[in-house]
Amino acid sequence: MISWLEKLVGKENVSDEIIEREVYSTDASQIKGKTDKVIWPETVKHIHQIVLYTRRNKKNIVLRGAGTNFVGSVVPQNSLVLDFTKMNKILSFTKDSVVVEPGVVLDDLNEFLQKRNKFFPVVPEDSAVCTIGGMCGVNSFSIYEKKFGRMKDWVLEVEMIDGHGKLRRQGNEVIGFEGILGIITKVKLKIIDKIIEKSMNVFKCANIEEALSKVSSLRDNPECISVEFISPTAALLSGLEHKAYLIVEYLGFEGEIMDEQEMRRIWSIRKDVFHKLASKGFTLLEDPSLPLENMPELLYWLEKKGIPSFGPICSGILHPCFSERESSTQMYQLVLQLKGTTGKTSGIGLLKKDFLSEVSKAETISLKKRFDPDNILNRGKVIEWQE
Amino acid sequence: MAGVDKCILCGLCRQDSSLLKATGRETLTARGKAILIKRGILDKIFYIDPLTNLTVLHCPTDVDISEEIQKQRVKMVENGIETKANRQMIENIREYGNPYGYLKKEEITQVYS
Repeated sequence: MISWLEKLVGKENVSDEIIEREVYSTDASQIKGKTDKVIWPETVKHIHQIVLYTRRNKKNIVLRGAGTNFVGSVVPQNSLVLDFTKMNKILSFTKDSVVVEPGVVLDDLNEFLQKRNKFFPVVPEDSAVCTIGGMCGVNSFSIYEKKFGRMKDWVLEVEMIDGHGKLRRQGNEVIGFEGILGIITKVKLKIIDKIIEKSMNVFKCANIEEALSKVSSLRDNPECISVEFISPTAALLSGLEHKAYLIVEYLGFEGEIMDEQEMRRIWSIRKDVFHKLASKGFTLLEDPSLPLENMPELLYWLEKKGIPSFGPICSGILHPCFSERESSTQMYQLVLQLKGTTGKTSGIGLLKKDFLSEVSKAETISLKKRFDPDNILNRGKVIEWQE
Repeated sequence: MAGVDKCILCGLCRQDSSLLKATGRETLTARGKAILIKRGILDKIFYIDPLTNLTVLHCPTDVDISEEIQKQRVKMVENGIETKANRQMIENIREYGNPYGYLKKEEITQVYS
């Protein structure tokens, strides 16, 4: 059947060669699945026809952006893998919004916007590679979440093809379902003016208590747009002093550091933390989230066990890094006791399904029944589903 | 610099891949190559690499993918997996002392003498 697909998308845009099937069988989760074929769609028509083909041939589809999630969101199950790298056009731009295809990389979009004195403020850690489609899928978290919220808050309209093959125009209610409801073909995003007046502070705290007390006061400061925490263990392993660090960014000039270059240097130190931890074997990045008042207990537990952590603490999210899976399972037992959850930054995928609340599960199933009752889209992700 | 066993498949190397930008194929990124090497797949695709190793700039575990690709090419030659162009280049180097083949040995000597 590959020739039918070749006719549709062009010979260069479909492959069932073993090298492609192997490479597309996994993602940053390192879970191995099975790829049927890899397809690089370029138009809405391609996607529509591929969905109809999938239905006719009783196959299933996995949607792939950059494949940077750690929970197996794009691991195929004998699936057609749709790689959106070639659907990377910025379609239109006004002073308030921009319309883009799902394969646009966030940093590329912001480079385009910066030249026009505009900015898209949902900026995850992997902004250099993550795609708009993937960000919609996981309702992407932003380093500026404290001020600007998440992806869902910035999506005005979504054009998508559902599991029936029907073209739909939706609002932001379909954001965050990891591709199990439909295939996004266009997204209209709100944008803001470029942030020119920014400043920063770096607080080196003697211990966790001091850092958390500082966080409490920063939480209510409306000018504070981001608070990044680095635990003493993470700081030490990253070549910094053995202290708890807070890197705080402000709108306006409340912070002492105002030099653009110096601020970039500080951010690069923060971004380098995972780099340094991974090179020392702490490669399993997790994302527990919990009420801020319960954060101390988790932090003490991590520090006691020598597990480094960092992250946007004001949003109640941490990124502990583990060298083996067993300790992270233990940590999640504690997180549940502390009324916490997971999946807020990297999604649910295959690995975090047990953490989905009953309410979210019921909502997801109800939408799945409407959008993709035959379960052809991202099968096995987020929920277990069989009509 | 680390070996391919240290690659955690995070995909941050995508930002450095000019081949990805040109073709859209993940298989041509450092992560793509790392997956194939880890799974012991010998394929002519390993000849499509500039070996500039820009990828290591953003690799959290400092994998030297160029080094790994070179090792893979050695294995491939040992297993008789070569491209026509590669075989021709090797023959030209042996015969003429350069990969292009159109210069005579004497001319090379003149250039470098």
